[in-house]
Amino acid sequence: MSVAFDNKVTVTGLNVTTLTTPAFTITSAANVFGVTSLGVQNAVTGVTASLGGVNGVAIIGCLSPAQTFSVPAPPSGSQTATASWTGGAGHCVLGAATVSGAFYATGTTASVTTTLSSIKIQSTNGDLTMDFPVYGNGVFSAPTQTQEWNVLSGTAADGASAASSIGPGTGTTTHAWTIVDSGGGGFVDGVNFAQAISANPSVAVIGITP
Amino acid sequence: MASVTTLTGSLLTGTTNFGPLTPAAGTTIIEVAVDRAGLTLLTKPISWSIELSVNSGSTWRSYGGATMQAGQLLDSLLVVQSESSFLVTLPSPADAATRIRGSVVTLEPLTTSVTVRTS
Repeated sequence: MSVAFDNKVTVTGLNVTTLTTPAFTITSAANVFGVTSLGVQNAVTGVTASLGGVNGVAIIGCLSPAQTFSVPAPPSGSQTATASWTGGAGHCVLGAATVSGAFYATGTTASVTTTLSSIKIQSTNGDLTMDFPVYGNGVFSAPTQTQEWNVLSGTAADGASAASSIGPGTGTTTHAWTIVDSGGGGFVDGVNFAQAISANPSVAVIGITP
Repeated sequence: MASVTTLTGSLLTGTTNFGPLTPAAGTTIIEVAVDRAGLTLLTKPISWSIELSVNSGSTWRSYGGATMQAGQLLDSLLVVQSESSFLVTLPSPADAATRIRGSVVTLEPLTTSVTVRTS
């Protein structure tokens, strides 16, 4: 079963230390994974996140800065995502998304330039990849994969931008965005959702003739 | 952007509700801002949130919220911050059946205002 994108939601904030998204509907399909990603204008510490009341865990490979979290098996139905942190006056964006048919999530990070966010995410056929670029004082455009959100809190010159796109598992999936910089900086996390192993795998039957 | 001050003045410890409000038809963005001017000497966090109804208030669903630390807050340029806010996008443009209501939770008495901006 290939990994399928399910749903998404975003919220933006100014001078806050917790953000909660609007309620959005999570599928009841099998093997659901949630992901949350926080983008902030200024550095913060102690980020935690949850989805549907289930605490998120920093995705392996997305350890610094730990602002992208996976939430294995969030409850289905109408749910909200929440992120909390310490410090950091300024603008922020919280995005959350869910996929189904996923077995586990692995991550990677990359640096961005003042003109380009580009990250290569290792994957295999049937997986689904997502990137989560964040930039303070700048905006994103022209994604090379399918855009899920591209949100600016504040203005391009004084704000936080956060975006996300999804791509297919192809071996190495590259997600890129153009950046228009207004004197800031950013980073990008990438996540691969590996497809779940089928509950009914094909079985080869070999007949033995005595 | 239209602006409505839904709460102003002294708030006691606990939960204070506001609304329901009926956004103008076609509204897609809701911003809820809390004035920080009177919070300089306070120490405890303040939370606020809203709910959305698309059937004239028959049913409601959580539609965003935030928490801020009280006290004086400076940005990276050492400018005192005058408000905290969150902003959400409606699932579809508001119509005559759209309603917004919300609440503020305080852990100590305070004086502030809550403004709902729509566009």
